[in-house]
Amino acid sequence: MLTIKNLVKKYGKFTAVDNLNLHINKGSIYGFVGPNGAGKTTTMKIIAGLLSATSGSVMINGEEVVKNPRLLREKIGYMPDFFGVYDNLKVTEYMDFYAGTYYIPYKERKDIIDNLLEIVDLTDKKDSYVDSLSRGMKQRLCLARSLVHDPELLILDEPASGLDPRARVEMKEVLKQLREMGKTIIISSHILPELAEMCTEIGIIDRGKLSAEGTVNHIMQQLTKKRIINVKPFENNEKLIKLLSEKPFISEIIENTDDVEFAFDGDDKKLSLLLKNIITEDIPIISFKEKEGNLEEIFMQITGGNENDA
Amino acid sequence: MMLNPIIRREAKTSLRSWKMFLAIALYTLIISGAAIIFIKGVISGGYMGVDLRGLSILYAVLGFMQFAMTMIMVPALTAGSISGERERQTLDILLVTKMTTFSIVIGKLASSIGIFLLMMIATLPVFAIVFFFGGLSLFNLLIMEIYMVVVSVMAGSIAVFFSTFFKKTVSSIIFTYILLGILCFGTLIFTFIYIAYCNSSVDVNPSMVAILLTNIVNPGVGFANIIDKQLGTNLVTSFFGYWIEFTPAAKILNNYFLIINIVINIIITSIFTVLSSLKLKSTNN
Repeated sequence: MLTIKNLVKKYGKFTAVDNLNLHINKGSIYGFVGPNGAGKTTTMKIIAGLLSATSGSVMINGEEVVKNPRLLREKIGYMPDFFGVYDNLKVTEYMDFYAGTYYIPYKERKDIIDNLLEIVDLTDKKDSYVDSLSRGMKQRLCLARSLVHDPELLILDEPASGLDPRARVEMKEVLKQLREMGKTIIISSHILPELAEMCTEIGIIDRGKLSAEGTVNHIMQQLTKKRIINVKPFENNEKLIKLLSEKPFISEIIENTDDVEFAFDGDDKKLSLLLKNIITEDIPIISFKEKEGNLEEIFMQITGGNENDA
Repeated sequence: MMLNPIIRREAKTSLRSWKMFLAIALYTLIISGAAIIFIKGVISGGYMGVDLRGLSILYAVLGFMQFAMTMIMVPALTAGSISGERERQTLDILLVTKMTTFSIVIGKLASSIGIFLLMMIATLPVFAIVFFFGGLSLFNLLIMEIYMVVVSVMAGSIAVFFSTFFKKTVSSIIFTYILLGILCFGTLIFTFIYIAYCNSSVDVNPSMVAILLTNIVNPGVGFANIIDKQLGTNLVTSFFGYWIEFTPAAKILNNYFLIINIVINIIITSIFTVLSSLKLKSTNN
């Protein structure tokens, strides 16, 4: 669906995007994560055709954005990280205006608008003035606006920023629905856990470069040096600790009051063999699980803990 | 055919705003107030009825007021067209739609001029007073109003251009007034410097052709030329100096002055519209 090759964007001596390469498949929800000033918005603006790249190429379905901007505008829905509204305009009129900017015939607009307002759960606000809506509602309206021409690719720049927890949940629900509709979505955030659960893939960008890419689990496995395993024995820990101490791929065994934690160096197959070994040794256990890594820590590790506001 | 969506939206939003009604009311009040004061003077000054000569002057005064208001109000109404979208953070959204930058500029220009047209229509009954007493034809008024539209579109195109150029609306308004000031007063100042230079030289006489050519872009002189033609006055020549020889070439130029002036205004409008469109295209780069 989207291929970015050797993308570079410079502002004078400052390089905002530095030789970025990525490929996003149709139907994916790609999370674009990075600290402020990492180059997310710049990259998204280049994809949307709002900015020209210093060098490199952006291709959508094999077509270069630069060469055919008008045709590609039909395929892209863009929601910026800020949203402005017009005074004295009702929700339906706001939608109708943007339908007009895509030259959608008048007679088709009502159905499209009604349908989109239903998706973003704003049907009961259709006759309200846009400037009277809450921030969360405005965000959802802005999302509905970006869908007015039924684009294949949605570019959403920080759609959850500034929203309260409830509005974030509502936004996530809408995004899930869009995913079910088969839309390809690029969504940016500077908060990794916010994206983790809704994205099929994640790309971490820092100082204009892609530091890590793949599924959340893949990135976690790549970057977590040790896997932490938590085992809860039925009775005492002694036999279990003795067994674990004999294994060379196990270290840092910590004995807690009612469970045992240890660092494991190996893949999933090795882990399943360890579990089999515990059971065949007749050590009764009531739980055996891998402790989830801290996404925030990983993010800080990749980005060097820097928040470069640029 | 689909109406430019910007014109549709702006018509809705501006007509819902009380500011718009206030602006139209104020404009109508100024024009009609001036008319009432003038008519009172004309009626009380006549012996046995109305002085038709005075009504012609009323027509000229009202026309001049409308012209002055065009030059003052159009930049104020238009200079925020693009910078306002930028300030409101809606410009990027507009630029990713299927609308070309040219149609965005046209939409913005047309909606601002539309508001001014509404003001002109609102004051038409005031102008109708002149026709009530006779002396001028509807055709005269039509020519005057067409010229006002041409000048307002020209002023609007300059305002839109500066609006694409500057991030703040205040800056676009200031620069529009400066450029319009150069067109209206800069050319006059240049002309008077030229006349003063000629007068100070023994063997050089000022040429009316050169004077008219210098002011060919001046919308104020264009307006005075209309009044001259419609009322038979000599505003232009007497303003620059009645002693300056009116050669046959100057007479020909004076006859076609309005047409050339309108054509130049249209060219200026086209240039600024295209420049605005190009500037908008490269706005984020």
